[in-house]
Amino acid sequence: MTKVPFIQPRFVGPRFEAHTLPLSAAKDLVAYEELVLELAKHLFKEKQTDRMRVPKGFANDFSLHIEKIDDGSAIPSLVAMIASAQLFVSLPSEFTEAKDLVNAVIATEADQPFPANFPKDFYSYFNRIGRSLKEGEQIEWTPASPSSRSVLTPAKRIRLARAHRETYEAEADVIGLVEVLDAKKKTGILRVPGNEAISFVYDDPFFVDLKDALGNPVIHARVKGVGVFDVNDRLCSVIEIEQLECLPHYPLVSKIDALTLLSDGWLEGRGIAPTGANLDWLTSEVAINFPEELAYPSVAPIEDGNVSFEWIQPHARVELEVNFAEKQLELYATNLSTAAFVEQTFTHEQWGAAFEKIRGLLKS
Amino acid sequence: MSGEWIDTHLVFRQVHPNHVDGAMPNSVAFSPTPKDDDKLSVDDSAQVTAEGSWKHFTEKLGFKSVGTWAVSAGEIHGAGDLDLRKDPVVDAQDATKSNPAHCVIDFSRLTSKGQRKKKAQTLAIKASERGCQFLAAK
Repeated sequence: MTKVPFIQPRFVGPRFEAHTLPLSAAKDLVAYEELVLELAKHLFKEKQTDRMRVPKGFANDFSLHIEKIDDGSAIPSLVAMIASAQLFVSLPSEFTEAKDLVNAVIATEADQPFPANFPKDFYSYFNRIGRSLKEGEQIEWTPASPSSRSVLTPAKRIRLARAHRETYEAEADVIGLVEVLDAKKKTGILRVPGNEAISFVYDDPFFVDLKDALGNPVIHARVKGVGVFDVNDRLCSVIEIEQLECLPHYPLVSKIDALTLLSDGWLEGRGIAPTGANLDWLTSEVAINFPEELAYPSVAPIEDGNVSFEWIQPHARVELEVNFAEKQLELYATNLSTAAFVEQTFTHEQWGAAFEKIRGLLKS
Repeated sequence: MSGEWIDTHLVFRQVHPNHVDGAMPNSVAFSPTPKDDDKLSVDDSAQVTAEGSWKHFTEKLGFKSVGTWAVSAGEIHGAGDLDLRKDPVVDAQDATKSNPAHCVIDFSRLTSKGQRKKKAQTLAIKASERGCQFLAAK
């Protein structure tokens, strides 16, 4: 194998300050390798108009390897590996031309025309090149260049991916109810808040969890993966699921989780914030014990660090105060129609009895 | 009449963003704590508008509120064992924090947590029925 220095892109951002490269970023480089390879083949064919195919060995033995990762954020040194048995003794010039052309495309600013010799279809590679970048991160493909460092940011990546298409691909993180599942086609539909339907495709390892959530009104599914977004940055579909998590009673649990954002003094300079441990315990208890047929209550923090669940009706209020210090559930219910007031205390283990009582009160 | 107040007279209550569910304030928004000396702060509608009450609370005092809800003097006294009193605030160091419209709903005659909860829930129901008097822009 012959080893030829090829390019040293610089990954910039907090994640790269330890001079390491996350595996997700390595995926970007895999897509870059594919683009360079296909573009080099394209450029060769353009020069050799009498040839329908590139010569044997032109591309098959070409690959990019990470030789090392240098300091200065993370700078992977990419070398081109060429099999020695092939016809070419050195790296064909089309690979260098392809590299330069990709750099030129990336360097194109919003008010500038794209290089004319870059094929339109190839812009779709930017659905993958740079997809791992988060806000505030960038890849400088020619960091040593005094004129242009060919900077790829998340926003520029989307602009390139959308240069000749209405949609683009990006990381998706969406939560919804699994409404439809087609086991043969391995597709489904997720109904997300706002009532939008998001189609998705899935692989076998996710089938069991998706089946559990299918049609279940109390289990939301959190899907992380690759999504297709439209010109308004609206998620249209998920084309690859990377992570799937089932979330029982998500509408209620998410309200409890939101209380972790409170800090002491949250209420007019006073107000004790509920502790993380108490909220963790509460979310797990709710996920296990909340009955399917009971409406989700409002969730309110109390000044002393406790949490109140409240079911609100036009003429009635039913409140279950979770008292962490006393380890008890305190029920208070007022019904102005019947002039009834109910007060009852349960232990922290008596969720079932408390919810049963509440269900009865809401019917009365 | 409820003491010095006409039954239909309104007092305004500011509601923290964590104490509202859609257009409905939670009961805890109408429940004073022992740290409040069992007194719930409200503003007299005869002296300030619903918006003016919100502005004073958020802009002058620097507290959080999603908007202004109201209960009437009749509803306060009808709930039983609650007193509505004028309680103007005079801040000698910072006059902008003074609040001549300030009043309190006094819960101190109630001896148990359950009784206080019942009154707070009653006030929350009445305030919800009446609807938000001023909703802050998000």
